[in-house]
Amino acid sequence: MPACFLSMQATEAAITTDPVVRVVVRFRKEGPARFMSHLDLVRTFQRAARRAGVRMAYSQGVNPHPRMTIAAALPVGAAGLRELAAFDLAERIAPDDLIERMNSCLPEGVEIVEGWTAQSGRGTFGTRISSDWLVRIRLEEPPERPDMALKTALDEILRAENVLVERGESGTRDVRSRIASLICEKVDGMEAVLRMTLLQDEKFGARPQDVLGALAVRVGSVTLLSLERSALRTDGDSKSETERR
Amino acid sequence: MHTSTKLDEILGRVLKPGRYAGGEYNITVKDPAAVRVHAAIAFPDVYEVGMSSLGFQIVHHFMNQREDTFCERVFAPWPDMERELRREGVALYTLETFTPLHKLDLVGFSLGSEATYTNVLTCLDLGGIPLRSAERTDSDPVVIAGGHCAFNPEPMAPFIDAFVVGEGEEVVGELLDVFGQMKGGKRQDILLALTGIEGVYVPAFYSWSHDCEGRLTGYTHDPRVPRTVRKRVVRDFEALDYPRAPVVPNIEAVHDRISVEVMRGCTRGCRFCQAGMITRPVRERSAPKISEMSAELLSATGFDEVSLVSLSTADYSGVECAVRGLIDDFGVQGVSVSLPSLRADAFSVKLASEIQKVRKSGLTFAPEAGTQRLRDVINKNISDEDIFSAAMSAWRQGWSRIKLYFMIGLPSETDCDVLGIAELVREIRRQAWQLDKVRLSISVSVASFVPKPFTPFQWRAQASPEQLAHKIAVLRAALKMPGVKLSWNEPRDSQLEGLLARGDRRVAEVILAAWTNGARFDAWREERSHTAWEQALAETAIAPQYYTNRQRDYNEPLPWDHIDAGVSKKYLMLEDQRALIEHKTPDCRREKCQRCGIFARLLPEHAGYGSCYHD
Ligand code: SF4
Repeated sequence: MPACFLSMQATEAAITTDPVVRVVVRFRKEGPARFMSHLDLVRTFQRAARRAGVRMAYSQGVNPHPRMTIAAALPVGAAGLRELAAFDLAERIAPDDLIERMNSCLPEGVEIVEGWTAQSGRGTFGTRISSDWLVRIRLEEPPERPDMALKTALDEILRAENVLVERGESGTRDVRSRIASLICEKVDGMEAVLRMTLLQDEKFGARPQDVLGALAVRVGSVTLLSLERSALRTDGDSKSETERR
Repeated sequence: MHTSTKLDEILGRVLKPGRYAGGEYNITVKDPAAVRVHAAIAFPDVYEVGMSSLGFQIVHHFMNQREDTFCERVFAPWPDMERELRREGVALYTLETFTPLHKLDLVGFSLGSEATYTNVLTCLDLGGIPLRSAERTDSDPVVIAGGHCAFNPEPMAPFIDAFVVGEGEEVVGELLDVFGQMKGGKRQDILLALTGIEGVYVPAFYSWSHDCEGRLTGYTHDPRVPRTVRKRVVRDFEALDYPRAPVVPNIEAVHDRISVEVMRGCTRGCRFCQAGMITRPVRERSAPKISEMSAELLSATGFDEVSLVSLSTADYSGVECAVRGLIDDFGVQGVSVSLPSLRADAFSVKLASEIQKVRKSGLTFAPEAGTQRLRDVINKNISDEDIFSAAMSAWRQGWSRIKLYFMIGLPSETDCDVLGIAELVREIRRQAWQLDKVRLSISVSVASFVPKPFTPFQWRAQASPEQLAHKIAVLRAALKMPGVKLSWNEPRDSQLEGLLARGDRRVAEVILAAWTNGARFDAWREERSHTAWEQALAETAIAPQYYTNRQRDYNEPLPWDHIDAGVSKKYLMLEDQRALIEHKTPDCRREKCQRCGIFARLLPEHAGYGSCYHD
């Protein structure tokens, strides 16, 4: 029961600032941070910047917010070892300095591992993304020779003409062309580790769950135990990354 | 981070696993082996709600601040997580070191709402702690509870070893001193020693009697413990420490902002309001202190919103100064200010428009009752004109949506008063139309009034679910206007809240039975919970009407008679009588002292009556 008469929330117009520099970073997201959603992670970086006293540029509009981009969202629960993000800063800070200051203000499991100043201001990450995934699964209806069965199933998927998945509102998609590679790295009893490279472009992409769905059709139900993106490549600001290397 | 693969798998299956994963920024982790007391503070609601509770943060801070204590956090698991934990045989654990609750020395619950009572049982049971205090052994943790619900502790008394009544900041230290010294000793000795601390109530030393018809006749107590337990109050609020680096949730919480407490207590004297009565006297922090705290908390958390909290922030004498200071200091950094409790008057609207230059979404007013007569009964001292002028100035300042809060089922309320709500809404729309030929969009939200302990209405009969349903029907018919939306709460929920709010120790059996039948998260209005409570009432043969829909006699013993909230029974009685004759009582900070008892009781050096705010 409200004891008060009136309540409201107010926003002061933030001063919108033009970005002075864009810094691209590679970061890890693991441990308890795996359970952050994409938006949670954005907020985490924005708060870390505030805590670190790093001045970010603000977007324009009614509800201004610090400008940053994360190249590719990770599903909740998945770890990422070489994720990509870009920050628009309102002041010039050397990438190494930025990394040090941000890392001391980030929660457990989020850590920036390298960073560089972007060459261009636009389209940093492009639209084509390729991800390497490490997927640990358990076969719930294990066949007699799990290793053989898995190998056969994966081969079948790779040879299949199409791999159809339901994408809610966008309808049925054929993601076969987005599966670049798919191997079984290890089988241990009912558990197995798969390694796959999946692609995404401006239209759509394949997700690890799509592959598991196709697998389940062939070997019975499969439980996802852990998911880790070990590499992430984009067709965007690769030039500057190469330069840095 | 934990290492159990079992837990990993569980987290892979539940909704919002971030609730149970820990690892947030600003967490405090100590070596349990290196401290004297390994404790946890438990919030019996979901993580997102608990992490937004200032009371929870305060106790957590005051415990951890001590070198001899490590205080972790734990929240009620959502039913999906509860199922998983039970199925996998994993005990409810703390978020910092993943320690099962039964391995701790002390578990403290933050009780802010009756609707979380069943969740307390879930936490105890899943944590491996016997539900009843009497069943716990020397090796089980001591279970403490505090918060506003501790002012009527009886419905939860069998499950809690000791309650802290009133403000926790100072008690926590005294409690840990005593507990730390006696740890490892006999449970009964520890509990007895805790009764020596002012503000601590240990139910095991008190027992209640009833007559042959089941009416409460009074209580007796062990001669070694005090007859009444007086609430604790912090004297020097300005100098009071506060959580300086609150934990920043990894997932979205209900309030992702810093809360700066500008004032405690309220002297407006609304007769329905429990918070206003039990948090007296009013104490404020200075505007410079508010600015200093905000700066510190903003940089410690990285949040971009400051909420100036109190029961009625427009009554905080430094409000304009504090708001202006915050905007000057942090406005350019994109920090916004929110004032969650303002008055419905032009001053508040002016304040609101000063800090809300851009986004004018909605403005909320709480006239509470539809007619002047009924507002006089509840001592809500605003007039129709105040409400109209606030609404019109809000419109002129650019707000196009207005939300109005009312209560139904108030003492002496008739259908005329209920229809008064519709009249008020119609008049606001008419005036807006006259002013600018616009249709104001208005949402009206009505809550059912539940009489609470330590209010002038503590003796009053609560409206029955049938009466409430009738009032809602009347209002629905009368509010059929374009652009007006009406929402209300379930009359059955209010009945339950009333039972738990004014219940005695016997009501504990209903809570236990309802929980056994599956009642969980009662505030979330799960259908399953309703059936569970109905069954529980039938099984325990407890008639809720005895507690809720019955006018009590002033002489009747009340289940909270052993608690001294500072305000005297005599004052509450007087206020109830004034309500009867529709007499208003002025704000004692602006006019003369109304002799509520706070001054005389909590400032014992001043014998007799005096005044808290005037020399
Ligand atoms: S004792 Fe008097 S001044 Fe103090 S809170 Fe009560 S009524 Fe107000």
